[in-house]
Amino acid sequence: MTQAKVAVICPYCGVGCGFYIKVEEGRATGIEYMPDHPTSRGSLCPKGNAALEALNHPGRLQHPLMRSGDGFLPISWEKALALAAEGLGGALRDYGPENVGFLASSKCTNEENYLFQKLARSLGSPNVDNCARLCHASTVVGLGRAIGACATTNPLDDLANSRCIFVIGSNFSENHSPVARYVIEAKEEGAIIIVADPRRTPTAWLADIFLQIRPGTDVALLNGMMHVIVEEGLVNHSFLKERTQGFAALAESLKEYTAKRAAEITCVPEGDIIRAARAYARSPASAIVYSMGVTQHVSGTDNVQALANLLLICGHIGRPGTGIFPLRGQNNVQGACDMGTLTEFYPGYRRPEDRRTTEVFGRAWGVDRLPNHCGLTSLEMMDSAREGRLRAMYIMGEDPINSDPHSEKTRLALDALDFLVVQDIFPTDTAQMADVVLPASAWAEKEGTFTSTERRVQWTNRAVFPPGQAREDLWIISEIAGRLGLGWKQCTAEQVLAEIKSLVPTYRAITREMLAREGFIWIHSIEGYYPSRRKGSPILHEEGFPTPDGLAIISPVHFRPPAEETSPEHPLILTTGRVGSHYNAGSMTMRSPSLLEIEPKLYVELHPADASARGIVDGETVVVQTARGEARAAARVSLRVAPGVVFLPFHFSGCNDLTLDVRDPLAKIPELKVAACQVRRG
Amino acid sequence: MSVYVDMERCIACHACLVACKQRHAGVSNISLQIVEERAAAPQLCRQCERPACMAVCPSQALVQEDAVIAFHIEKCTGCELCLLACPFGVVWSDKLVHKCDLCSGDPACVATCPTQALLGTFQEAVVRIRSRAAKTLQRGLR
Amino acid sequence: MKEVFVRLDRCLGCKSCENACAVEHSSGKSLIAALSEKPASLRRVYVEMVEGQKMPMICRHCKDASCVAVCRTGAMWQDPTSGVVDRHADKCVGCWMCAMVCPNGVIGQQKDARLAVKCDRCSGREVPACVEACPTHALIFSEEEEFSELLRKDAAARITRIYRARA
Repeated sequence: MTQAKVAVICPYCGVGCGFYIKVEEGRATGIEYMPDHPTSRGSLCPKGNAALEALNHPGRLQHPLMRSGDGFLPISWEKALALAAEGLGGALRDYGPENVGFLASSKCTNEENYLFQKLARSLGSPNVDNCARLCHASTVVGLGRAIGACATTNPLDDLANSRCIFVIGSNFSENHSPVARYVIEAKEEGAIIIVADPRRTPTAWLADIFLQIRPGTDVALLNGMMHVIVEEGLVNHSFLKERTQGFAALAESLKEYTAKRAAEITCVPEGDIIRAARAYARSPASAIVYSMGVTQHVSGTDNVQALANLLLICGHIGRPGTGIFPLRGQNNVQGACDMGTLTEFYPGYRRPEDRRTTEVFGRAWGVDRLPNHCGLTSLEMMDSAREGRLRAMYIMGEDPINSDPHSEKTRLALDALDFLVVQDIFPTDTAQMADVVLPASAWAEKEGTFTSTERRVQWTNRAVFPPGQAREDLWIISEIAGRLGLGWKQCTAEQVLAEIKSLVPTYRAITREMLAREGFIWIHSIEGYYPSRRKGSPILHEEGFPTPDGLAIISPVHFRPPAEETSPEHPLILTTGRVGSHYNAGSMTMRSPSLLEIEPKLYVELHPADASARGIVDGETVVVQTARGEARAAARVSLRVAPGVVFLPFHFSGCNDLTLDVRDPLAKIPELKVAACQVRRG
Repeated sequence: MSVYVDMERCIACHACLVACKQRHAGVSNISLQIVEERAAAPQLCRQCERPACMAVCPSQALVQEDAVIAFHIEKCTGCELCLLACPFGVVWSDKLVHKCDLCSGDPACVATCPTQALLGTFQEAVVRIRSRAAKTLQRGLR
Repeated sequence: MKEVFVRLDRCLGCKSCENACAVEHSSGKSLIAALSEKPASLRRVYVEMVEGQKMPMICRHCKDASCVAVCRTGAMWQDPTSGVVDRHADKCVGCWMCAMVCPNGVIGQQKDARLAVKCDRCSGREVPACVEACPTHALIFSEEEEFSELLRKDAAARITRIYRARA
């Protein structure tokens, strides 16, 4: 490797853009654009453009570390792996696999995630989960239940074929920027763009109809829209009859959700709700794009079911320009879920309770008694640790202290563990609490596959070697497995992929050529049942739904208010979210000077009316307070939010000290989008 | 030639800014401001046909070379008159003048923009704007 | 004041307006001159084709013209009485901001002379060249009220014919 141009997939978001890394004398020296990438067409958002700043950062973990007092000592790999095996092994032995937890990484490759959950389950632990729990768990449960699959139904560029795009709870302009291109192309051909969001984001700038919704009232809005559609006779009766069940109950439940009542609850004008409903229903091909604004609520599963209801009563699915797009956040969260790093699913979304699952995997893995039940979700692992039941954890590529709600709870949880091993590329806040830290490889230092939000499985190549003594995650996991008595051999990513293909039907048809060309878009299939007559069509649900009887399930949901209501002490609604220049808990972007220059610190957006009522001027330091704690932030007086609502970006430490850990009962996802707060001068 | 902006497509993502920084040792020659939470447009050197910056430069450090107003650092005295003269405020200085140099012919901002809001030729920009307007009118007819 | 309106249903896409405009703005005032002069004379009116429909795109001389608002040198200006938006050649620096903000994309670029080029409503003529050249009278030079009345009368005639046919 003296001088080369290596094709990689971006490590940041779920769009899965490709670009080239220029390598000179073994160092990544620059980025070159990839104009023939099918989704990004050569473009990159600011994070992708700055990707090498994080990759080459001097603060990368380069040595295995062992806790010593309040600090860490560098140790050899031999010692580190022995300690990790001892710590995990001891807990497994003394407390049983039910009390050991594994947190996989939505940033790691499919191969790494697959091996990680194989490790956990082979050791008898059902407690393997990943950060999808915090973002699209509502989608996995809600959409899975309604239409049998929980992924984007159409390729991203198909949005350009829509005649109406309903965006709700997504700010793709900042966070999935290439998606904006396709939405704009649709708009330039006359598509009506509807955006529902509490904030007037750059995504809302594209809207023909902007619904500035009160946080946490999505079900009311959607039911209101559906009420209009039913009343005005805009439902697609033939689609309902042939492909769904449950409409009658829904129609009955919608009676009370008049546009007027919906307007009262959501603070969206009645006329706009009616216009939006008509636009969505009347257009020949409508699509729904959604993200955290819908999922991160105590009613997250209901919110997603309501979206499914909407598209089903209009029949906007299974054709070009239609469908539903749950925009996945991480570069490989789709893949991590496909690989079964969710406690309620084995790879390929097989249920642990199904006897065939444990038989098939048991045979393939050579393990007699694999866990046949659901274990603890990521937040439940923290609950269990705090209560003294979960005793050890192995965390790969995640920083739950900064991504979980109510950070204090996670700190207490990790503190309570007997043993914590963290495998990461930077010394995150979570790594600081570990007993053993294992330095891992970043995305450009390994090869393997990532699955993007449009179900595109793409191969990413190794451009450079990891710094210092950092090693590849596949190697680390296999070494630990070996020391815990699972006779694993070291294997390449390609070999792991071969094993994945043999066990995960949707990945079965992948070939190396496909991956090299355009990536491979998986089509949902259960035991070879292809819902599409045109095999290889990237559009899901063209003919049937992968549900037991092939029909989609419409079920009524009712509006329930958010978990925490405002009060005289906390009169403002706090909503949290992302900005385009940073990424999640910030381990990579906070170490990228180009990105830090754009947004250097925590700020709070508040409406001019709320600011002046408190004597707050733009730029001054203020204190944001909830029942959980306080955080200092720079005031940003802005018309982006409505009066009574404030916004904090969660990339900066402190934001999640304030959020609320109350969860959707089915998806177990926390309500990161609504809390009650007060803001005062600092 | 300069980089043209299709304002209806700018989503204020800042990709252009960061791409420019990567090509110019950490300094961006593009600036982006969001106006009234309604719109944004990247601002960069217009490579004016009659450049004010070139006119005021006392040492001929700014010279028209084909499509670009080139900056020759060896002649720069750091007087910053160009900064004052530019009507668009797109010449920056930290005692060293920074302005768009079109990346020697392949502007990074144009290549990286996720929505193709930045275009490399006048024709592309104007043709798109005009055809967009025509399409809107045409829809009104049906 | 009078403006150039378009009866879209009458446009053939023949581009006589484009030619007439270029000729009018050439120094030789002939087709040969327009084709061979340097700098070349440019049209200021553009006939676009959209899904089979021909759309003449002409400067609207907007009341609150974006091109005037964005021009930093004062080259783009609007006559307060006639409402015509025109360009002072000596002040134009060729920055093309006007071209980028024009919602209709009807500002052109005269590379050789390095100037922005746009419709000036043919100030030296009684009737703009494009209007005079149009064979189907798709382009109309009139006051706004007159044009609306024209459309209204057309619509009334259409409705009356249908009504009469029914009765």
